[in-house]
Amino acid sequence: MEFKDYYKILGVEPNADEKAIKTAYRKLARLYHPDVSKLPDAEEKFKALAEAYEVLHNTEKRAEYDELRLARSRGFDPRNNQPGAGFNSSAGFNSNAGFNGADADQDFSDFFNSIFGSENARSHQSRNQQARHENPAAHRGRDLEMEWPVMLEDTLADTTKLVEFVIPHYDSQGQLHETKKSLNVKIPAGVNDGERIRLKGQGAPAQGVGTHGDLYLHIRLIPHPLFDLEGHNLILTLPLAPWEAALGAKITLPTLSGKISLTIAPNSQSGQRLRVRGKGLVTKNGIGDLFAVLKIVMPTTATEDAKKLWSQLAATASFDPRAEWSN
Amino acid sequence: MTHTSEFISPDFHVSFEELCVSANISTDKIIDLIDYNVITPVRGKQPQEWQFNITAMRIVNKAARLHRDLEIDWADIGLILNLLDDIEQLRNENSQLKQQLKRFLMSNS
Repeated sequence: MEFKDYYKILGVEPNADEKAIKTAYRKLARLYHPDVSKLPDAEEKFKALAEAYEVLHNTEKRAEYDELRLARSRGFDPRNNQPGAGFNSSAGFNSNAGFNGADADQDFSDFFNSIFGSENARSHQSRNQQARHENPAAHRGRDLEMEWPVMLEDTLADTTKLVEFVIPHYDSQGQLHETKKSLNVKIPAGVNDGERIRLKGQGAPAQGVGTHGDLYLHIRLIPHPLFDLEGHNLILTLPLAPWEAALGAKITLPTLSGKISLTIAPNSQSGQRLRVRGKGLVTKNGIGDLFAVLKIVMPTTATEDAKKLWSQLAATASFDPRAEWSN
Repeated sequence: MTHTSEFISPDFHVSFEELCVSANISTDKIIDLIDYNVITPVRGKQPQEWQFNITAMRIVNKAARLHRDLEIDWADIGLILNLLDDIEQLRNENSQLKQQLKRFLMSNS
């Protein structure tokens, strides 16, 4: 089992005083806390920080840790006969679901548990534990959260989808098990990107006696190849040939619910937005609109005949696209 | 694999008690958040009747974590949450605008 250098993690000297440790923790915590940091390894780093602080700012724990550190520097590791509880994080899961206000104790590493014992950690007075003792109802399993990609088309009407997931939990010996589970979930129409829905009691079981935690599905609308989102409206970029924009045209447009016909007026411009009511995303109070945004596109090659026609047009037209430049 | 043919309807609301238990903070602190207008019950006149949506649940849990881990004063939590929210919204807007812009720009220039 890997030895964790808590002093190094906090960036302090081994003889740092209480104040220095607190300052170091605060500085790093503000940098890596998952709620305020967008850094990719924020969660992991913060967990390490929190654990280091848990040990170093507690006089007794720090003393025990320092002893171990000293012994180790002399080539002796008294923990060698300790069985460790393996903790593997499950793929696809947010182990810190972001819903429990108090982190479960299995957030401490194997290393921590090997010194302070997982039993000891659970009953030990830590900042979290104080709150838990005040609120005995808080004996419940941890909440789990899962990213759930959903196609735009699926948000148009109520649907039922199969959700498959894995619940990590500890048995009475502290061994980690993973139970596979699948559920049919009713998803109502009009769910938004980023919305979370709760499946009560489908989370992890409690350690010992208590209720199950909940499962949260974090809805993520899958980007569509054609449509972009703008709130509850959809934006469709509509490519037009120059002559279509010049002469007008009748275009068949795709929508999330089938094709429709759209008339483009003569002398249309790039960037113009044409609204098609009621063809956007379904919401809890109505339906958004679809906006077709015109984009005039040039062919990449031209035949000799085409070039002749373009030249004629250029010769006869008196249009100056850069009129506003000359002053 | 445990499969259930049960059809589960998700919850969109939670009770006041569930909120307290989930965030693991005192009821007083949650009432503070309501007083500061950080969260509002979607229905109910008395605390026992109060129902909150899932967003409120997330807000309360986030507030509890920031207070505990970063030692932010509870009275300042409302401002911090608003700022974090604004940042998130701006990021999303930015993302959407970039996506729209990409449709008009040549991809390999």
